[in-house]
Amino acid sequence: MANIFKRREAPIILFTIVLFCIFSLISSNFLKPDNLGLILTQITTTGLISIGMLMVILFGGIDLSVGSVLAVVATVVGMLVNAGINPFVAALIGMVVGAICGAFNGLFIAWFNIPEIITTLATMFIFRGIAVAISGGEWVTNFPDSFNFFSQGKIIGIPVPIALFATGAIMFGYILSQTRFGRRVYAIGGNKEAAKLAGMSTRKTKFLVYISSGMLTSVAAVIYASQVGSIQASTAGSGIEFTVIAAVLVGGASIFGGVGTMLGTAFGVLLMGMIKNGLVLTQASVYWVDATTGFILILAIIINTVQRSRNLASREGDLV
Amino acid sequence: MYQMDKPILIMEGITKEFPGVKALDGVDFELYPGEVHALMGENGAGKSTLMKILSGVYQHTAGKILLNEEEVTLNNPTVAQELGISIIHQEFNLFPNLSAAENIFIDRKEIISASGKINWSRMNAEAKALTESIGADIDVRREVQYLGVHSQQVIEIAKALSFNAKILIMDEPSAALPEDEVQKMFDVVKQLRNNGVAIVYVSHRMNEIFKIADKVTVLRDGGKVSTNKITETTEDQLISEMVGKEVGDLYPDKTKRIFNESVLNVNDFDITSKHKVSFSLRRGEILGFFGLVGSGTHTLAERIFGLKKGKGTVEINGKSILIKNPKDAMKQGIAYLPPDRHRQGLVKESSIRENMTLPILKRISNGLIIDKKAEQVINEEYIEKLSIKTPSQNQVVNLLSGGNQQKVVLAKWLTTKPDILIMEEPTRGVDVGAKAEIYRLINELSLSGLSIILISTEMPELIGMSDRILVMNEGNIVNEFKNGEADQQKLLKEASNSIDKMVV
Repeated sequence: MANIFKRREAPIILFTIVLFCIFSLISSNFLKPDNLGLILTQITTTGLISIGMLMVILFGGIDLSVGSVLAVVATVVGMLVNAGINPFVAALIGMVVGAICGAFNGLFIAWFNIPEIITTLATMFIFRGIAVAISGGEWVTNFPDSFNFFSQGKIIGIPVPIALFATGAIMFGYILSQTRFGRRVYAIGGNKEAAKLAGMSTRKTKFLVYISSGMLTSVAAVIYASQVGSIQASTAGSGIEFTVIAAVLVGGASIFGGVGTMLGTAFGVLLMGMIKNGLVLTQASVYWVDATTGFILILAIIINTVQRSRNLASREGDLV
Repeated sequence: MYQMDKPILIMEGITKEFPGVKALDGVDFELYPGEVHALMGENGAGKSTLMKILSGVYQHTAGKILLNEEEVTLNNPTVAQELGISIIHQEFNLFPNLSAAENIFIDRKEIISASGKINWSRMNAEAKALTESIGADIDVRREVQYLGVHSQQVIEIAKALSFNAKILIMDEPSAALPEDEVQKMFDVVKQLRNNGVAIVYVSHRMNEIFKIADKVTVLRDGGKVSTNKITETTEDQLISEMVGKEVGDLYPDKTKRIFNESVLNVNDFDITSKHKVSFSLRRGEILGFFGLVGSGTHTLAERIFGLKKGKGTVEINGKSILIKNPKDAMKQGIAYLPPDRHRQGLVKESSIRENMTLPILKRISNGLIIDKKAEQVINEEYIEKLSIKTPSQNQVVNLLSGGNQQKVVLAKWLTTKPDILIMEEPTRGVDVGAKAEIYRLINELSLSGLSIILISTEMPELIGMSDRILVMNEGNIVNEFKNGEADQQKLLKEASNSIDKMVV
């Protein structure tokens, strides 16, 4: 039992459970299967993007361009299916577009050493601009019914968005914890110098992370387009980067890099989705969702900081 | 004005205890106005602890401090500074993006006019006056990043003087300076002395002490050994006072060992574009390297391991090899234990297990997925071999003691099964127990055929562990000592002699 509490994810998991109980007590509708399914479906977009964001944050970086990548991919895929292309082929092309966006970010960050925040701030405008340009500023809408598969379809009884998010989370959870690639991400984020001495290539790893992040965002974009049913390139996914960053940080990742897990991030995403849903159901005003999210973010980070400094204080006496 | 015959500072019976360690034991120290008082001692002798107490960073556990015959309590650096005690650190604390004058008067109310604005002309004028008072000519309006190292040091000193410093502690003031600027620094120090400032001059460099100091105090093992006028002591006397008793049995018995096969040959290898070195390392040998800061030992290690680019190949087992990066070096069986485990050694938020296998992920994976079982086995093996004290291999290294952290870094490099191990300061910041264990291990490794380059500034360690010691000075290997030939006097002399003196 003591070991569970020492895990870094402990505070966030505990917090999620407590909040879950509170909402269940306040609102009789909260616990209904339909509602729980709704929460899960609603978090899939942020969830998928947060996987890539987690890896970027593990490096000590940040990616502001994900909302714009979502807009580009959603626009492209929407226009393709409207042009009669098979939705699955369109989705695959969307993933290629997402990968290209990620590679573009990765190129400037890893090879030209331009700080993440600057590169992605610039590409945030670039990608958004491209999305607006190719859509001609018009709504992309009236998708064929077959495209609904990505929001309403089911795979072995599980709604497609949830299945995709779960697959992504499990896959990258595995990659981060069990593979050389994952180990490199933690090592480079935790101590770049030590990683260099161990013969690791910082550039290659970073580049791959941004490509994966772009692809994960494009999966989210396909779900988003299918769920929403109409895409306005100038607004689609705008601001989602901050929700995603918040979820990753709430999930226990450190903004300084090197610390964070897929499990924690998944709970961060879940917690934030639950808050939104719960506040609506308990008839607290919808207008308070943002403020509450902000408070939870600060609270979660305080808990993480306290946990860390307490761990450090328990270290054996060391001379300075 | 000041009176030369009355001490400005008396430190009496200063004792400082850290949990489990007595860093200083009843040290007396007196300082007179207008004198340059050198403070010498080996690493760990207590110099920096004493200076940290004087500058208010640490508080002594026993003893008292008198300033102008009045007892004072220096609870923090600000109090010390207000009482006229300033310290110039080896590494400067300047804002490169601000002007010299702004640096000197940063956050000071003296240069704020009644209306709350910064009085720029007054600030610049006062800064100019301060730098001129120590004989320096600096454009105080220039940003510090565009000024040379000497000028930066002058700014640090001027900053201290702006607090009316009566006591100035200079920690290895020549360490950061290029050779041709040391004389300029001496001129500044002399000017300060003529202005009546008392200077504590902390340095390892013998020739400097004899050029600039009036008195010299030697510390050893946390106690004071002597205070002498510089004219009444000699280099040899100082060195033997610093060294004290001979090295105990912390070190293995170095019976006569014979080495035949040479493993690494370095010929005319560039350290910098100006300095080349040649040496060879033989199988199973522990080859010590001694040099002061800036002598090139660190650069040599980084060059061989491919961390720093340069010209020249090395010969490994008879083959000429070009090492471009750490990966190449590891392929050739070279491992490198860096001097700073915090900066270069550990991923501190990760576990022992993850740290240990960092350089061998390829070996313990199928190329992609890590074999956790193999990783666990390797961890068990090395945790036992190095007696790393930890509840489990999943322990985050941040939570380990210094000695155990160092063992994890060492274990990490041993997992690569190297033929050649370059170690820099392998026992820095670890307690005596862990030290002894690391020495035992180094010796065992060398007996089993591992060839070791041991770079250290701790002379007892070098003398106790090495089969041979090469001394570096200003980018050159200046001398070689075989086992039993070296003592600390000789090492220090070779390492601190200035090259021109040696050529003569």
